[in-house]
Amino acid sequence: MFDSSRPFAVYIVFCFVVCSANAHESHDARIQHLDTQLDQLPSGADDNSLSLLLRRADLHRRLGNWPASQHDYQHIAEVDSQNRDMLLGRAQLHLDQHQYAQSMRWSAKLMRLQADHEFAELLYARALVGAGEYSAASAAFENAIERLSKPRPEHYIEHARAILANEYNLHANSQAVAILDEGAQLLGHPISLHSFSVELERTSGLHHTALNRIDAVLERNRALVKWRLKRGSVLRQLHRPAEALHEMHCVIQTIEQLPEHRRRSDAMQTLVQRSRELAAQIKKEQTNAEPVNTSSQHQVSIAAPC
Amino acid sequence: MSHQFLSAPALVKLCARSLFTCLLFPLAGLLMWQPAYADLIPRGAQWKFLDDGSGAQTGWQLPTFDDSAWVDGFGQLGYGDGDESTVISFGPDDKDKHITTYFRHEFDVLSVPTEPLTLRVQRDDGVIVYLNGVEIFRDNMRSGFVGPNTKSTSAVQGADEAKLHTTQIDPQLLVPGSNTVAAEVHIANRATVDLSFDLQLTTSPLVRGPYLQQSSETGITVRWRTANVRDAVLRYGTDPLNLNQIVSETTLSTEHLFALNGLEPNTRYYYSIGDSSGDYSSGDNYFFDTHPAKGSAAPTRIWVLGDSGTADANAAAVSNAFTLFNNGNHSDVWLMLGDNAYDDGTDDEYQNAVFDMYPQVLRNTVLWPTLGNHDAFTADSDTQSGNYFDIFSLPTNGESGGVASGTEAYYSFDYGNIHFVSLDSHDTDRSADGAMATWLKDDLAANTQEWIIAFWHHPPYSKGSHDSDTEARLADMRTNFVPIFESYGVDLVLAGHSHSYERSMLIDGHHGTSDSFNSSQILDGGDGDPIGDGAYVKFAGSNSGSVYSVAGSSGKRSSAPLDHPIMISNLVELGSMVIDVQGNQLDAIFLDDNATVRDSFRIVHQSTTDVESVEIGSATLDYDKIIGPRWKRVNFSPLTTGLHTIRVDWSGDADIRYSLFRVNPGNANQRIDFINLDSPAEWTGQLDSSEQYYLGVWSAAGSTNFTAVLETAIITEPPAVVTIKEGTLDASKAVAPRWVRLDFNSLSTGEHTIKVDWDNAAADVRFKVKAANGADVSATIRGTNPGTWTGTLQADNAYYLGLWNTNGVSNYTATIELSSD
Repeated sequence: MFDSSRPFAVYIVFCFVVCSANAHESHDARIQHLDTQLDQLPSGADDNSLSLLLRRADLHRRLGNWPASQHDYQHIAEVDSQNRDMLLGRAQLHLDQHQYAQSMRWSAKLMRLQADHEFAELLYARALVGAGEYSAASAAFENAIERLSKPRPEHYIEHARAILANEYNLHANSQAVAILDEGAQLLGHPISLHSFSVELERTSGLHHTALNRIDAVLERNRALVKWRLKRGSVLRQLHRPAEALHEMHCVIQTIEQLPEHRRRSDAMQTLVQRSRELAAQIKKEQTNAEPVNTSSQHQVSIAAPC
Repeated sequence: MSHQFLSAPALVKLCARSLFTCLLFPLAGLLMWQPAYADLIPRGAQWKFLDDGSGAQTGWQLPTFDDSAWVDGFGQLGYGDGDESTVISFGPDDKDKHITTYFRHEFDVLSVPTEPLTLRVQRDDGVIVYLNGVEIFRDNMRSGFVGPNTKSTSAVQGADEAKLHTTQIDPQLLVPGSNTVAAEVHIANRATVDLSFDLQLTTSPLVRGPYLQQSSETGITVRWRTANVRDAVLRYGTDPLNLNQIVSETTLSTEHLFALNGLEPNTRYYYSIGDSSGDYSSGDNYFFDTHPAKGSAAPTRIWVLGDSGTADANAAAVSNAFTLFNNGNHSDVWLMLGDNAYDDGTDDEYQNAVFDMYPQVLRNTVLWPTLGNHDAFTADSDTQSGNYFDIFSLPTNGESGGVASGTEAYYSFDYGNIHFVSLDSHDTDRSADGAMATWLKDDLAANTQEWIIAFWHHPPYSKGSHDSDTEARLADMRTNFVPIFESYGVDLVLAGHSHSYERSMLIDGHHGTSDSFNSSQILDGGDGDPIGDGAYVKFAGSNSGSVYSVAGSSGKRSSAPLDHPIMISNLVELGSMVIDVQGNQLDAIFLDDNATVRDSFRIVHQSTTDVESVEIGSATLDYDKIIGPRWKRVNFSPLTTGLHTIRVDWSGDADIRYSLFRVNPGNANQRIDFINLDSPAEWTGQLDSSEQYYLGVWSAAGSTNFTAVLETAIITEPPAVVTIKEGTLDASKAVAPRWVRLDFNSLSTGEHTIKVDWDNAAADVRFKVKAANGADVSATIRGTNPGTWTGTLQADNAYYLGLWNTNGVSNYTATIELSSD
């Protein structure tokens, strides 16, 4: 922190040292550098000038200088209307500005030039979502994900959300879950996809399906204590109170075995609290309900191992 | 070292340098894979040079030229950058420097190789290189005739000054016997500030690595790159002289990757890399360590670089400072906080800023990176494509511990008792309900490790060259991710982006802009330095606090206000962080580019099981009772002034959801706090032994029994005896582990006793204490078991302990003991 009692000259010297070290790093400075480079180039386009222009357009876009970015892209288009980096940049530029139709126009043009372009259809799908054309967006996401060499969970979630956004699709939930499952299979079962699927299955009342999924997730990673709480909650909805209580017991027991600084964190104590609350609700429901059939196959002793 | 190409004179030179290696040579030939590739001229080689501005005589490039009048020195040679091994002269006037400096190096080969040679040249500004009088490389120089006063085409700046320019050379230019490489380096103008030259000529096709990725208790990934397509062979084993495990890949490629599994935990493996014709690289410093058992409290050293990708003298100075500080010891975990390669994270820039900058660290330390904004100029998180994603192999499926994220953009891993989390703050959805946040919550909930260290590029708090009050990515990370980490009790959050060092107090709950920070969010406002204001003591429980550090000055430093109110330490200095974790203690320092410790802090996990627990009251509460037992007042006085925890446990019907307690001083009936038992039924805070307090507990519905307990943490003094290291030494091993060096810091300035205890009485064991600068502190202690040495150590100095064994196998335990006075 600066000490205001120090002579101003010290700061001038200080600033000279560190500012000069930093001078080339900012995006603005890099744009200025590109300006200079472009100014020094002889008139007439060549690969070098297009490359510099693309770079500047991209920097302007990242900084939110939309008109300047548009101007550079336009300049490139006048020289090389089929420049693929330019087309992709323009599609992204309009998407960033929520100008979906224009974004689609450029990504579509790029797809006409290169049908298997990895990124163009993804931008196209996103623009369709922005434009509210969910059915078309869903189809576009399907194509886009197929073309991606390394898709990630977010792409499947985007696709699922596009399906769910289509209010005329009566099978949206099951289709969305199918998409999420496809992603889970391909990507090594990322937890974010299964989280979304369980949420959809429970919303649809598919508690058995949700339970199977939760069991599979826990089979892969027994440490997922939050998923044990989910399991207990689903078991309660399936009217299997003994198992649900056992699961709550296991949540608390698992947390109790953690190192103290983990066990007593807010989040873990909240999980314990929720487990207690859920257990209390289940007990209350048991008290109010008809006598439970003790021969039920779902009876589990609270003392059973977790 | 060349074997196949070593000539007799070269072997004589080798023996003159190292009798041990010379004697080992024939033996190694029998026992080890025969290296087929070698450096003919390594980087840092000894060169003859002419720097007097006189201009070289005709024929200076030829092998027959007599350079005996020239002076010599080791590369890198040059002036002006501060990273030269040999500083050469530019003449008496720094405004009228000599334009050209000449270099020569003679080397021997036994036979001429059949495959292309690789030449790599560092030049600032322009260079022409000759092999046996034939020009083989020219860069940043005009074509045609060049004289002593010919300037380079342009002035070289920034990362290009350190770049190694690579080209392939026809091996037929070599002759059996003596060969000569000559080079002339030209500056761009007589007032230039610097000149640099170094060169490597190698028969090895290896151009990148080896480097280590994605380690775990039982696995690791080893990668490297060759100049042209090759098959690949990786040999490894626990004995450097017996690499008895072999994996190979027959598919020809320039990129080579082996993911090894089924390894033993907590074990050092040595390895060599090469192809079906032989090894490229092997030796004692080619090794990898599998992780210690999950949860084990093994001492762990972590090296943290932020924004280190300048590939220049700054980055080299920071690296050299750490090497000096680390004193030959091995780091267990290496983090890069983003902007790993300036300006755009291109493959060339990664080569310069990572692979050519840290080759010796990369070959035995796993690098765990995160994506910076500059890396993202040529990498796209969305499609996981581009250089960052091509270069690094990061866990997506919990391969190194943690929960599967499904993407390399964000991941976690475990090492010992530490859980590390790397997030993508640049190019991934940073919303609180996005996939990254969803994954993070599950990952942290599944974590069973004692410590949590998180790192990403954009700092949640900074008033450096970036402002966390105004920049969206920084604010997103603070608003959406810091609360998640806090709720799971994260200990340390590391970031870069701002090119300075900023380090916070122990804080909790500050999620707004800097002007909203208030004293209630400070849990410990001291500096955290054990010999300053004292270590940060984190009690287990809610809101236990975290330390936030911006460490983005490993390659450059930038002017900034550095006045964020949470920060206790602010430095515009080049440097890196070094973090040591052992058991329940984390020590962190900021080490500047002169190897000086500029900031240090300690976090101690204080167990609340180390408490004096006193029951202060119990009762039955029944909501149906309108007066009496529905409400209970518990009076108490703490015996000591300090931090206390009040815990209320209750049993019975869980309809009792809205019990609460409050603590009032004296009779003033002043509420201190209100606890809704929807939150944990604990309260932790400062109580004064001179005050009277009472606790009000009541039931909002139903009936329950409760017990109220007052817990007072017992702060224990540092232990009188601390274990420095335990291990095994085997005299039959030619090098390690026959000899081991351990670095350590004394606990305080004063007299200490170091004791080394061996379990094998027959082992001829010795030890010696040295200071970090290499000076002997003790004589060699031998002949007693346990061996002890008592002497004075300084708290602010680092030391190392050398242990060796010349007979048999013995386990040892080395301890340091504070003197009783």
